[in-house]
Amino acid sequence: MLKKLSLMASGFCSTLALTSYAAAEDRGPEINPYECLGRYEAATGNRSMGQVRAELEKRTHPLFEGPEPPTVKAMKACVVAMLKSRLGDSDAEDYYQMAVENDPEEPGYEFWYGRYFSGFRGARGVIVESAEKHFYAALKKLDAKRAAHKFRDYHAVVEEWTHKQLMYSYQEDGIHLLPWFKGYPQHGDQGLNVPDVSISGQFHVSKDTRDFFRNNEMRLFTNEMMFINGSYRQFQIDKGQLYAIARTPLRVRGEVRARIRQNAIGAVDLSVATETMKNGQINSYYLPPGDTRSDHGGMTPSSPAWRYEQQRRGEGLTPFGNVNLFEAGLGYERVFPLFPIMDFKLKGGVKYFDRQGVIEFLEFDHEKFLGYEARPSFSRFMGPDKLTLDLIWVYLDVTDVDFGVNSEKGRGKYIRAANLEYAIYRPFVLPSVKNGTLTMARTPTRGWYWNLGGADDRDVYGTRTVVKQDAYLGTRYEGAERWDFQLQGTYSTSDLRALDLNTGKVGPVPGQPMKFSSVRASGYLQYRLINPDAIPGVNGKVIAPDMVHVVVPFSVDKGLSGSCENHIRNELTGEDTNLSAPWIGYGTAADCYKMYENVRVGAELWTKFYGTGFLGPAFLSTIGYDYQYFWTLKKAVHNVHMSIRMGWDWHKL
Amino acid sequence: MESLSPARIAAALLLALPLLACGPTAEEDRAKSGPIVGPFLVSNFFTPSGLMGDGATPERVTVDINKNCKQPRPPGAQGDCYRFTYVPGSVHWAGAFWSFPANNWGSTRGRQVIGPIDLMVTDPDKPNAGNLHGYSKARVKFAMCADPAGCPCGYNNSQICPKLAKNDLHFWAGKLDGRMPPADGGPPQPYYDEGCVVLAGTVLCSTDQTIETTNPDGSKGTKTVKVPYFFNPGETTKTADPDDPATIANGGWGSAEVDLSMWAPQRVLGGFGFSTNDEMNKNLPQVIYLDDIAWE
Repeated sequence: MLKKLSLMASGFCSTLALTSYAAAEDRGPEINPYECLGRYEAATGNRSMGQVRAELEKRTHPLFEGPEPPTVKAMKACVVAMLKSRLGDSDAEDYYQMAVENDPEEPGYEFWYGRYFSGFRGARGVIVESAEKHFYAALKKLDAKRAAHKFRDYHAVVEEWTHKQLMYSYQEDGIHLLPWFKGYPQHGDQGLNVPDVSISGQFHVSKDTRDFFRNNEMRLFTNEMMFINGSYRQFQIDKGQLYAIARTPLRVRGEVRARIRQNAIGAVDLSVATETMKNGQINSYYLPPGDTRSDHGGMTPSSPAWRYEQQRRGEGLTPFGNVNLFEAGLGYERVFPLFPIMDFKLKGGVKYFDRQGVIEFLEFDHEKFLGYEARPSFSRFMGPDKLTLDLIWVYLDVTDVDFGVNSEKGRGKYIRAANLEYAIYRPFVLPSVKNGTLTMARTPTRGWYWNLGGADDRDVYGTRTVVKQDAYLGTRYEGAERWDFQLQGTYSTSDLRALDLNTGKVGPVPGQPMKFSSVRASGYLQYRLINPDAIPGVNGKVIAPDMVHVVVPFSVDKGLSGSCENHIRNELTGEDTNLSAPWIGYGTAADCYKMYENVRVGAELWTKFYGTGFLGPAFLSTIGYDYQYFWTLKKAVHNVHMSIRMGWDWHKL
Repeated sequence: MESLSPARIAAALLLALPLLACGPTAEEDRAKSGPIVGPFLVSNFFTPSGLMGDGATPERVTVDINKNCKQPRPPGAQGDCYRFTYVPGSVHWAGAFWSFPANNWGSTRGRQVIGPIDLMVTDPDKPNAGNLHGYSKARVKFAMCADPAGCPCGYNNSQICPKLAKNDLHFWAGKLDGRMPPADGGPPQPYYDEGCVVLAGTVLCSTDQTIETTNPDGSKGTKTVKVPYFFNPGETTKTADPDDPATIANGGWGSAEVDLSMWAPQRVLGGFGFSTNDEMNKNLPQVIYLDDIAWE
């Protein structure tokens, strides 16, 4: 997200835009670098992009008028650089460089230069390596100013903002362990080239129908129902089993990551994580939990699934199984500035997994395997707007099973996804109320984002593949004031493809349709109690609150197509046996794709603060409650979830 | 000023573009399809997924494939070796079908097979399809031991290894009939093992089946259709007896054969099967080793 320099700073700057004349030197008058911000805001405030372009033209033709002192040239170049940043011109950097070269002693221009890389440029993240060069240069120059007794009042502001930007640039790292390098407050430029080590930790706990990766629970539940209902498994699903599938297992995940960051190299990560899901996994699709077909006190024969559940309870096991996961990973991340073409973020890694509890019938067996992922992002300006393309490729080399024929032993998971985001940063003419009158006014925003994307998730089971696909279109509006909203529509499908070993043809598996489609409308409304963009400096000596948002998320899932097995077709005879009776109570098998339609609405509190009293790590927490109602099942579910992170991974937020 | 390097751009694109193409191999490339031709090892095509009796309840019957096998394996043994551990439950018998595909109780038709033996007769329903082919037998090596695992397969009488009485084991190939309603409920399935029986020069490849139909006016009627004949060779019963001289001579392995000589199997759901019970060893866990299962 492009973090424009906040407009709120204008008032602050007007008091600081002091222009003093130092002793007559060849370099010219000593100029407050905030004059650059003030002129920039004067040239952009309440203006269209065309008008801003015109302002830029006026300032560049000519850039300098006659022989001007270098400090004046620096300020003029800085204003042009900021205007070019706003307009998305790829040569903005040249003007920041020009400003620094013309006033090499002024720390403020280094700050603005660094701010360009942390606020405007970057692909899914700050270009840390470019930004920190200039932030550390600013700190070094501030020290020089202090030593030369030329440290002005506004330099204290430059210093505070620079520290804040460094904390912001390192916010995903966690806590930097070496206080004299990248840890807050940084000293001079000694944190620039030395490899620094940071530790981040994340803790998540939930009782929720959704997992931590927000997979579509309606599709999960429907797939489970269809698989149970297939003639390869239990076939005739019980009303209680349908009800039990919509479940909220307890999930707990903890993750610790050590990151080594060095300016020339980027960030190298070592991580370990554990995750547990209690009472959430179906261990046998022949005998899923929840069956109500009991023996009624010995009066009627009970079902095998009911007996199995009683057996499990007798053995102290939960009806659903537990899943335990351990991960150890090695990762790499860096944003490469490839302007004028684009910025490119390279992120990838390899992970070792030890997973227990997901193999059907073998709930205590462990799978130990490696997983690989690459997540490149590309970003470039389109005028004042920004286009970003994110690609995701994940391959889990899941352990082949040691039973079955060779062609059926193979296991693997492939995820491929692409997201195209167009961020509109130009102001809009929107209705607003001024002095009690409704009027149309040019309104700055923090961005109006449009996302278009798709994901393809394939699980390999021998010659069969479960294919899950998503396509979505969404928009997120971030207002300049306190309100944001997001709306998204997602079309989801699932299917099971198999090789017919007799014919060599690939198609659906008889008795296991699993063909399903649904649509989700989702979004949230967000109110900013504390707006991070309104706090350019450091606002706390021990704890610096940066963000407090109240969020109201909602979603509606609607089934579109799919059919459970309600008849048996005998191709040998042409006979068709109707078996719809077991579905009485929840509709029919023909419309079973509606079984887990639901609506969900909740309230969440998102917070972020910096630990300025202890090296400046960023903390992010989310706590929320969501009420979810499955109207076909007539089942209400209460979801609760909480996350606390010190440092984080952008892709997992 | 950050410099633009064409090499950087090229590297970025090269790294990124193939990602979307890197998916799983196509299903048709994961296995060779077509009929099984000639002799075959059962474990290459069929999976012991059809656990029955007490085996229908998880953990009553556990299957180890190619691990914890009885060693040494029979001389010249091929294919997978198996260890079944059976803990008797309320049903007091257990067994397993090697099915195609795994977990198929008749939902789909079986795997086409073409035996190595030319039976010199044709399918009367398809006289132009060439001669029928069959197999002479299905074979297996077996041993039965006491649980816990690690007890030698013999009549030991220690505190650790309980003594097992002689026990009958039943073996078969084919015989899987999805039309039979499952004992624990659920609907009958449409498919079964299919084959032609060849007896004294007479070939029978299909039978007539009368099914109910619904007329356009909604009234019920019947019609007769030809359906494949049920491939149902007899089963073989063998006593697991480590004192048997033949078993001793064969390294502790018994051997059994299922006669298939009167059949031209066509489509096979159940490539092999066995069952045991605890009649002679009430409630005692038993370990059954099977190896070298083949049709020839």
